[in-house]
Amino acid sequence: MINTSFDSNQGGLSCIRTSVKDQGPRALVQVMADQINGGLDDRYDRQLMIWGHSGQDLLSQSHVCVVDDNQTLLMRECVKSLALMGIHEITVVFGSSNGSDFVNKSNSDILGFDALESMNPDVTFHIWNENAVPIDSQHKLWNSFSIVICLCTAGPLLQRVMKLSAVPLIMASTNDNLGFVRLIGSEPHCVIDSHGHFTFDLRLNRMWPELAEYHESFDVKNMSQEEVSSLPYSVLLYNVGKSLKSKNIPINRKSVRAEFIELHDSILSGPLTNDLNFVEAERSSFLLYDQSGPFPHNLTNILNSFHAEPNSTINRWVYQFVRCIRIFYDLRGDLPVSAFIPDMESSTKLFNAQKAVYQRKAAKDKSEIMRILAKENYSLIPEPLIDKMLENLKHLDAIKMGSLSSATRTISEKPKFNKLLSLQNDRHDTTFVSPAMASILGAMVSQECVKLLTHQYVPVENTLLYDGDSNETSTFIL
Amino acid sequence: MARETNLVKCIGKESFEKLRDMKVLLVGAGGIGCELLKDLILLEIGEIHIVDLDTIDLSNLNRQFLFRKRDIKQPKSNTAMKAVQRFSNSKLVSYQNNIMDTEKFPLSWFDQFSIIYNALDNLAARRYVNKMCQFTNKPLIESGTSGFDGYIQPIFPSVTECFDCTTKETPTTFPVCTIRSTPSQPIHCVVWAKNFLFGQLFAESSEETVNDQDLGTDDKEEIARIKEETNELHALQQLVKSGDETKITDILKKLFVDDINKLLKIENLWKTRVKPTPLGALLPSDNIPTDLAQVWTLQENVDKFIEVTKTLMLRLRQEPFIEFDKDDDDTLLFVACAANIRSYIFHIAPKSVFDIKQMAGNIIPAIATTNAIIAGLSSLVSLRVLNLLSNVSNNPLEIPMAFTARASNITTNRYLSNPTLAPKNPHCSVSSNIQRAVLKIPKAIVEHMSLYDLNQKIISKYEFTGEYSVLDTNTNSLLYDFDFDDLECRKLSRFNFRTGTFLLYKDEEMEDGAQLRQSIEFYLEFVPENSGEDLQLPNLPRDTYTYHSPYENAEDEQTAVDADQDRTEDHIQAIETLIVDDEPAEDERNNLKRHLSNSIPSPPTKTPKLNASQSDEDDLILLD
Repeated sequence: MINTSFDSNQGGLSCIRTSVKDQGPRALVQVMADQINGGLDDRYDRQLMIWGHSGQDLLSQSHVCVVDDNQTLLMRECVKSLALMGIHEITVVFGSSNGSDFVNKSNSDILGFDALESMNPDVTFHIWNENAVPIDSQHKLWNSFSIVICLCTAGPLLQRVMKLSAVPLIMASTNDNLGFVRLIGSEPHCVIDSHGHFTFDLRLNRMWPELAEYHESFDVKNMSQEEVSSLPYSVLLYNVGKSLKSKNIPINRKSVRAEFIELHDSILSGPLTNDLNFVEAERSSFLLYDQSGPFPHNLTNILNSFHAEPNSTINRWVYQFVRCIRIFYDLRGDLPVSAFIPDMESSTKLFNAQKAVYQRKAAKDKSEIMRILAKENYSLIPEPLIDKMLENLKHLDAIKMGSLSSATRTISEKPKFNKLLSLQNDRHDTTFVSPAMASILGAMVSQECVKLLTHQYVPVENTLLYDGDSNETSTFIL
Repeated sequence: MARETNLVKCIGKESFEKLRDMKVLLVGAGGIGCELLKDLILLEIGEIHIVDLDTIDLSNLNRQFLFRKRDIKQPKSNTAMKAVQRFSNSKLVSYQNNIMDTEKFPLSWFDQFSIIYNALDNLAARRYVNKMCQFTNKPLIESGTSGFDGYIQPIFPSVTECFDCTTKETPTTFPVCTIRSTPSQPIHCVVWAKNFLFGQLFAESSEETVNDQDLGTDDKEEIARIKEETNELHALQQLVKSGDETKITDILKKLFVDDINKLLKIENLWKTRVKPTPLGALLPSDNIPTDLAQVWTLQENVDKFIEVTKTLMLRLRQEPFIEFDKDDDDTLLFVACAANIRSYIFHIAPKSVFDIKQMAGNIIPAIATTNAIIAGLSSLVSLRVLNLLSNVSNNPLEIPMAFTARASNITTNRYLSNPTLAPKNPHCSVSSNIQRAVLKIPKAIVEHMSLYDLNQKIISKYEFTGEYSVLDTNTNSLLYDFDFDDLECRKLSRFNFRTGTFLLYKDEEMEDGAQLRQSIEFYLEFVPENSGEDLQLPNLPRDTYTYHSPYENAEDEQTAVDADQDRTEDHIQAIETLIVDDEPAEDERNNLKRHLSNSIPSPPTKTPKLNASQSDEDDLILLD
């Protein structure tokens, strides 16, 4: 249900708002503007359902720089999407090679600069000619960017931008019906929430004493029909698992099902499908299978991706947090328990009692994590982010960003791609691009940009090739 | 001009000239529509017609880039046209109409276009345009988005899969009994408040009668109660219409005390469920809540309910009826408070007004980027569909459709999946085993020609030999079959026929393996008196096909899917999970039970009650 996914986005990293970058007064003004302008949400309603207030807050503090030799349709398409989604500040830098110092307003006017500037009053625009760009890399302009999007893939302008900016870079180009997008960065990128398929682990085969005690407190076989119908499904699962174990029957789909039917028919009449808690229990029978295992792959990946502490704030927080989870795991032999359990068909009283058992344990585990964080001197991570990550352990990840030096490597199985690369190196070749290609590529670039800025969803790792003739896409780690 | 030279370089001079001479139809000027309009103008297409019924809302502005805040409440079609007009070399024509409006857009109107682009947000209109394209044999580019997910599907009538060749996920529906007697989730209470309660009290009075077979329960007591309740609500509607504010407490008592007590008396319902608790004595207070993001207490919900009911009663003095609209605060608050009070009664977690708006409005996530990608893909592929690209094959079965991959998992090495178009599904009731024709009906004959006369003419002309049925496919009502001839003697003028009515004649031989005459779907077009008294039936090349029992069809489809190696798992998943509906229409396909869908109900139809056997009902469902 839409509503659920929306709820899970409400975690609120709003405290990142002031600390993500040293943006001082402006961030504060933004906070106040949010509070005053109650209607602010409405414009973004439909996308808040995708990345939540926490994602939107990050966008509303971001400054994206878009660089291109010419004022191409691709550049305008990028800027259009970024502006619509509510990026706080957009700086466009265009080359002086075509000899024009002024913004050309007559070309392709549907996405002309005046149209782009009026698309969203929340966005501040700056337009620079290459010649006017400050060349001092310490200049505040270069420190203010969150991401640079570079649509010229060779030449002095690119060289200059590369030298001056230290933030992640998205390079993209298109020629004929071929396009590519490439994410470049000096360190891997951490994902706070991949929004992958959500599965719960109720720890039914790795119980802590209170949970075991709770599940043991029901004498299911001697209950009335009404009492059995009001049991949360985890209690049914637990009993089935226990009974199978006592009979030395291995736990699998078939054996669990047979045991369920036996349990059901010994107490209730009619088909099993009449009793919703039994239906739910059967659907969740995988919870009985052994889910413990080595430290989760995604978390290992984060730890292995970084050779040193990450530079970017959110990456660093994720990395520090996962290190502490590892320490916790080494101490306890398991991950911290999540405070969230799935809704269950049961009496409200029993469900609440069970929820409380998980919440107590989750709170205890969290306080231990907090202790470890403090001990490791990782005390800057905002607590709402910690809560979000605890809830999201399975959806944290890191992806490898490309490096500039490998940018021009050829891919043997993709001759078309190599042709595109060779065209890029000769930037004075007059390239032609269909408006549809500009629309598709421009949107892909902005979409990757938003994934990077929000640290939500999984960006392309790290080079994407699109062939407009066949709609084929391929990704490469370069 | 730079734009033009660039384009000529891309597609060649000859194709460019063809585009300049072309007339196309864009259905929808919303998220995909705004983007497509831009893309089509940049393609320098000669003439573009834009149809959209909607007006602009603030929540559109995060993606519909042709609109500004000052345009809110303005029609989308016209505003989009004005926004691009001065940059456009294309002739632009806009309509603020429903594409299904047959008076404005008769079949012949669709015939003027070379291609049709769907940029719609609901199933009903998509299926309608799909059918129009089947009638006129025009290529259609179908598209849709939901969050990061999106798809395009070019459709070549009678060659490739049509929109109805694959089953579409219909909006979640709930059995009537869950909504009316035994809610267990917040959404059940929201559907009750919006579709049932609000609809009964404030919307145009519906004469819908409740039919025994439709309820999703066999409990006689429960059925009797549901029927009784519907009648009592008519009485409540009178109270609301009276405008007497002192009656609001009566309404509260009836809905949240008396009705609950009556439900409690049906003991069977509560054997395995927690009993609801009727609303206790509550004194109205003056602390009316305002924060829409907060979950309100029971007291606060009751207070707000009283306040907003007063407002709605006042409005009824000026307005003949009020329809639910998530952006109309009064209607939203009424539904939210009523749903929450019901939630408290049934021990379900209450929700904030903000959350209920999402649930009741059926709001689908939407972003600029997905729409731009999908519109770009749509305009790009249309060049192939129109046979304008010389460097690639334009054979329909070699043209790709496209699905964007889930943004949570790009590791599949695909950003887009791109299966080539599949041939039409031989079991599809829209594109297979069916012929289509326009049936011109002179107005002069409707007073004296009966349905029987019409049927006789048709079966003899088109060689229907055995059993057959006649269905009005706009309303899905059966007009005739071998078991139901009550309406046959009626004169045509006594049916609700008009230009745009579809009549489906179908061979009803039920023996497996029988050779059946192709069905014929007629598009009725009423022609003026002076065009003569004769009914001219168009000549059609008649063909037969082999009948398969519906129970075997299911297996056939499964094998078809298995055999189709091109269809990646993502693709199938995408088809299954893509929600293409913003405001879903009531859709009862493949479902014997009548369900209350979480949607704005369509106007009631005067479907004759069927006394047909089980197998006929199955067939009806297939026809849909």
